[in-house]
Amino acid sequence: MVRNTLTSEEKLVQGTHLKAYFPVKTGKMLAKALYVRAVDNVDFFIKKREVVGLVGESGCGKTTLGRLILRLLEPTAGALFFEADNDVVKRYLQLLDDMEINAPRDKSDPRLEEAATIEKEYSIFKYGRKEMKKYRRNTHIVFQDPNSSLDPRMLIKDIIAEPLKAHHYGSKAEIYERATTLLAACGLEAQFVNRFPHELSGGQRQRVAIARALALSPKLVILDEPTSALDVSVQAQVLNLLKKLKKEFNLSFLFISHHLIVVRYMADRILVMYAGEVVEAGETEEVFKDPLHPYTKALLSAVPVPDAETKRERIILQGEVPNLINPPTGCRFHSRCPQAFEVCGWSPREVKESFTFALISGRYPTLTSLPAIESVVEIDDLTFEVRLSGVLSDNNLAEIKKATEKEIMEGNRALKAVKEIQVSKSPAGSTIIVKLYAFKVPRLTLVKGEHTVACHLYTDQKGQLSS
Amino acid sequence: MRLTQEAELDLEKQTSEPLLRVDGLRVSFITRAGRIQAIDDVSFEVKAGETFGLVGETGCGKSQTALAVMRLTPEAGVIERGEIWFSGTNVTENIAKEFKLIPKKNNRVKLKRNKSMLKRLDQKINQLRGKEMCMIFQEPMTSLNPVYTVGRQVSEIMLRHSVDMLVDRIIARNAATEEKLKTITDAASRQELSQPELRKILEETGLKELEDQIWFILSRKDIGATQKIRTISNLAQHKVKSTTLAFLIRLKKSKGQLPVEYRVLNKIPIARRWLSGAIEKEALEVSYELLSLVNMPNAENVLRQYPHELSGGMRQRVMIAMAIATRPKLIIADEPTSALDVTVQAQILELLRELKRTFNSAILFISHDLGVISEICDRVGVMYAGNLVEVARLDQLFADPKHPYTQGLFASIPKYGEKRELLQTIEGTVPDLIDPPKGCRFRTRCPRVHEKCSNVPPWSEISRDHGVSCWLYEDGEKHVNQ
Repeated sequence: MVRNTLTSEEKLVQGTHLKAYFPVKTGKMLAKALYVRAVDNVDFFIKKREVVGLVGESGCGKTTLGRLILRLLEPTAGALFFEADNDVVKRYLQLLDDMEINAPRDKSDPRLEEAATIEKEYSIFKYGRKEMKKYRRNTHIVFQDPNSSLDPRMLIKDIIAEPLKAHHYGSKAEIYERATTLLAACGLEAQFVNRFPHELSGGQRQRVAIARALALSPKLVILDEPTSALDVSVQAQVLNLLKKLKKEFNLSFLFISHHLIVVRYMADRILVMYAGEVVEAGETEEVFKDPLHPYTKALLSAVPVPDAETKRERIILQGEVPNLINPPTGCRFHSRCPQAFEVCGWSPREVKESFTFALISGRYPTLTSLPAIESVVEIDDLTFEVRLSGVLSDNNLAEIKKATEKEIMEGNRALKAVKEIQVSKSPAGSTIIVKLYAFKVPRLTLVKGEHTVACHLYTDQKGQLSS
Repeated sequence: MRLTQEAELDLEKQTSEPLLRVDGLRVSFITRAGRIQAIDDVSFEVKAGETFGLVGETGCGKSQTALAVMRLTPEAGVIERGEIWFSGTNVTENIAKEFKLIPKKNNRVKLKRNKSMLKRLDQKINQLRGKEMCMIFQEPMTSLNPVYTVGRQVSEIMLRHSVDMLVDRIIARNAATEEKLKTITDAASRQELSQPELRKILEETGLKELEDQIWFILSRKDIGATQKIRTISNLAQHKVKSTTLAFLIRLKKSKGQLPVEYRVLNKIPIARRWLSGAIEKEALEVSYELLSLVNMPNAENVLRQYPHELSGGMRQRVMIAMAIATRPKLIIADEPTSALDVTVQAQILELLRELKRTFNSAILFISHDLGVISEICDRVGVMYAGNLVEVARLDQLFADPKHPYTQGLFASIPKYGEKRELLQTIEGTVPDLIDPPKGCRFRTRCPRVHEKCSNVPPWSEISRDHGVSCWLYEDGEKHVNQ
């Protein structure tokens, strides 16, 4: 495999349509298999000598994405290119776009075959044993908790020497000499080589973990919450060290953290993840100064800044991170989004609750005379029916429509998705048929510069609706 | 929900005297390796209704201070010296008699605890713990009992500490007739009632025990006005059987002895059958109100769920509901948001602020995160290696930190929005507390160390509300400016 040398502008790693699904046991025989969609359709890249921050709440798939890059996990779908020729990757993306990745594919399509060939040749997920071993020299990881990522029965020098031995770095003397140099580079004196991890403090242990990660001079180091287990004063030491090493060894970092202040300090570019998807990506300062996605806005406003003077306006999100086994349709954030509108992905499941609640809550006195609700049935992805025990008059229908509008005014966003309300009458009882707007999954779109966001507020969806 | 008149009077009285006063506290742990001086000479005050923050790094003794206030210091630890006054009670009255240190070979000591003294202490402190002062812990999963439902755990607090309140509520509701409730519903349908207005009407009709319940119904957001009025007038139908009522009235007559009486009656099977059911049901009802108050989504179902079925944020809400159940004067929150995500953390901090406004409880807030501290605290104490090194009003501390350690702490956090030079660090590591440096414990890492530092630094008041324990400020500011 011949690879061109890269210029600094070129991408070191590029992942496309990455998916990682984990099967869950339902306990039921013959039941449809369920999957936790930890990472779903993620596209990203890391340039050479760049620090990319990956932020998001716990359970949003940050760590899973990090492990996919190392291929510690096998992906469900997607390709990852490492130092691949730019033209090849471009061609591959072109092919996928042409075929529309999610559409059912025709197996005889020649483009499919070409994409498969490129994948086989370049994607690290298709690497064989030998190639994989080569690849592993280029990437390494530093874990969050240095207490559990260092073997308590090994001496520090052996811990650092282990990757060197595995990759046949050289003679024993050379290996241990390298271990000592690495330790020195990480700010630990030579006396530490003959100690055990438990004799070291948390900060020192994390330094050892970093030294081990650098042993084979990798090009990319994944830092998975490297300072979360450390105290602030020690955190500052480790962050300084990482900055120094980045310059010295020409490294690229993927800096995974939920601590936004630290990410802002470290990263050149950031990716914001929510519920398994990347919702926003861009230059760090750009994103922090002018966040576009409503989730990013809420996330950034929630950061407690150690400053008694400035009290910023705070967006407090309601509810919890959704269940990734059955994530919300459309945009996954829409159920908590303060700016959600018609096409964000409301499903009958969500709307029917708000709708029936508006009917029976007693908030609208004009609706108290409605016949009782017998059942609420979801018909398809965009329709549901409310079956009543009595007959509905035209006047009632007008009142229901009015109440729905009033609810929307009062902030019941789910009802925005109601496109039309019809009534079919029968002597046994009327049925209210509620139709919803069709929705689309937002994809990352370029807004300005390198700032991309996956939100319908920035696509032409809103414009289309009003026209 | 409300501040009773008595509480308001109390508050006025207490503004002169602090709610919590810790004076010269020293806590040590006796281990095989030696005596760990976890806290040494810590003094501070928390006034009624204020939020006092304790900040510091791992192992600096902030949690141990909180535990000492609750008298929950772990087995191996003892309060060697000092006084803790909480709301007029000395909770460290007999500390000298509570343990004995028996000298052994090689400078070692053995700890012997006086079991009967500790038992007596428990009896005394149990009147305060959980009722007057409550604690919210860092990891809600380990502080909630996994085998009991949420409803049972929240109502346990009421059954332990405020049976009288529950009994009052049941009796008052039995006395409520539809006409009496009609005066309330009429007033509520005419205009939006404020809490004092509601209290006035209730006092006139003689239903003042129902204030919480009716106010809760009126402030619910999930039902409409008509529904609210219907719910209130339905209250008259929630009655207990006459036998139960007779027992309850009997209980109520045993003034002051009610919890004891309840426990006794509860041991008689037939009495228990009439009593417990009604009271426990009432406790669940109050639990529901509390969970709704802490913005628990779907509170009615959560009552029946187990802690593992809830998310981290929801568990922490349960903990907070339990902490406010008895309207305590002091809530100790030990890193309540450290295990949570930023967005959930923002929700919880907002909730704590809101509750503080409604109940006017004081909060002793412990955190390692200066950001969180700046969000919620009025005054802050900074701890280092078991010492309290600086106490100041929040704005003073952030604008002008005095102690070299505080200054180092601030400098080592990346500035939000400021660009990229290297961070300033505090060199070295936290000292071993078995053999801490003599004098100022920070002197081994201090960039401004000088010869005086090997003596224990004096506490100097730099200005009102700003004190620091450092030789640099021995004569106020002068020394520094030279």
